[in-house]
Amino acid sequence: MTRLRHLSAARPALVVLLALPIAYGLTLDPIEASLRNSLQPPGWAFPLGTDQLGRDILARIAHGFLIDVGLSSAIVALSFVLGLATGLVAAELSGRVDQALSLVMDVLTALPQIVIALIFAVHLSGGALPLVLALGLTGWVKYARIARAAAFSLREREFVTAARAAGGGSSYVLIRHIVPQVLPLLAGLAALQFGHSILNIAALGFLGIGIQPPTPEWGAMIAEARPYFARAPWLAIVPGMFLFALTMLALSFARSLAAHRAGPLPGRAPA
Amino acid sequence: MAAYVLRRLMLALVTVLAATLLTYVLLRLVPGEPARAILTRIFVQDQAATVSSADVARIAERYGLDAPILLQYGRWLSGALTGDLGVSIRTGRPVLTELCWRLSATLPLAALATLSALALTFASVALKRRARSGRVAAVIDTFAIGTIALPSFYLGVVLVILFALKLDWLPVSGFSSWAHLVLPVTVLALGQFGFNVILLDDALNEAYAAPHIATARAKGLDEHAVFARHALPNALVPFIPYLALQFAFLIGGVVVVERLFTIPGLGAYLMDALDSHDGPAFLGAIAVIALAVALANLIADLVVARLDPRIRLGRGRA
Repeated sequence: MTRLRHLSAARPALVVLLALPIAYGLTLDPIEASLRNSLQPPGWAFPLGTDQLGRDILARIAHGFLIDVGLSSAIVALSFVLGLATGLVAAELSGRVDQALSLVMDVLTALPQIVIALIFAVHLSGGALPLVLALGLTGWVKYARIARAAAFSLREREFVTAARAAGGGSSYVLIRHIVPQVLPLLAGLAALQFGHSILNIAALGFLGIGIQPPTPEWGAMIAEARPYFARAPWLAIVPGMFLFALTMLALSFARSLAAHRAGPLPGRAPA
Repeated sequence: MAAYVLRRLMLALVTVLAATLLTYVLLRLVPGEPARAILTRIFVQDQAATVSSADVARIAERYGLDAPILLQYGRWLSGALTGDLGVSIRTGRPVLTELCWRLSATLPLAALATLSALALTFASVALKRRARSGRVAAVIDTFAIGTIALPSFYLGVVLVILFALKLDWLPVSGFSSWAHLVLPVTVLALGQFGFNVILLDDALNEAYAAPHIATARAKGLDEHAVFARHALPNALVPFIPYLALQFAFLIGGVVVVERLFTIPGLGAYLMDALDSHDGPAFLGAIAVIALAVALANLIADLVVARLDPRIRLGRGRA
């Protein structure tokens, strides 16, 4: 992942570029409409312009940031915990349980995540919770694969055998010795999934699933801008630029965290 | 080899069954009785109108909606195996006919996008490896990473604004000429390009690092032969299964792109079915997608088994 070297150098600039407008935008009202100001291009009064209802784009982007980041964090947390637990259980119990869990993982990987989210969307129309469930319940597989592989190889290591020989029970060994070694392996993946979730939430918002208007969400904002592409292109272009910058930032963090994985598993990449 | 193929075939079957069963159950758990929804949608048109419970019961019986849910799924499945995916609630036409028609739009789109992405990937990786200049490699890498962070719907919107609305070179939406294909194919192809480049490049690096490459060079093989006979086949072993995963990702992109460019394809059909609560149509579309993805994975597994003797001979990877 040396490819992201240039990106890491640009990271402070990216953070400032994102943080300053968002901090200012949070002080403004994202819902208040004033038709007198509708479709204003970016200018002094409205730095990023206004939408068809005269709502301040900067305010909507800033509040949309909170929503996208909050949802994405929830999705990552759900996937992380579920994946870690499943991976450890598969490695600990091995045998039939392991095979069954592997099958579930294979099935989940085989379906497009957006399509699984659509299936969930049938049942749970709109809102934050179904979105988190749909993306969280499909995102855990990679964590589980890495946790499982790492736990399998750690079991053979001397310090684990020593802990067992010293009389440590299986849950003690798991929590005290295995989990602390597995966690850093999953950190890079979490940052990567954070970026992906931001994109997925926005894509589903664009499709009209998930967060519903008037709550500001970046993907939904771009979809709402559709009738105004010709007259007011900034309506669609500006939220997308923030989306792009935030995802780049998440990708660069993923790279830094992945670089930290050298640790107790020298040279043994998780399969 | 036979056991390996059999296991992969089973996995493909289980995937399709699991996807359709999950969809079926979730569809039936939607609040409100399906029979009542059918009645109000087709016969009354007015959502607010009241429907007598006797009518609801009659419709439920006619569509077999009163049976236990697993039995209903079984009926759907046995119908599906004989090519009967039911009738669309929205249009009243057979779902299979509609799906075939939709696929005639989606298949060329997906195939063109995949081929362009692959051509672009191999060209970029070849350029990067041949140039041996840090700057060319950095430009290609940055571009690849950039396309990963760029969501397909946003790329599509920007291209529409730029090339269709500002420059007026290409049509905004629709699906009636080759010009209509340019923007959607570009969006889908660039959506795959980034990960393709990174993975192929990494796989080639790894393949070239193997000791047998040094042996091949030492015995005097020229670089082309080293690449074609020793490096590329080994690099393709991780790359091809990944392409199958990429295919699943492509379908997600197709849903978005078809909506953005109003292309009457499978993805748009899925979204229409979702918006109008058209259960049979939705289930049919999911079944086709699951089948396509399972097939792609199966083909990838078979190709890899041909390339990799460790798998072909039943050793190594399970």
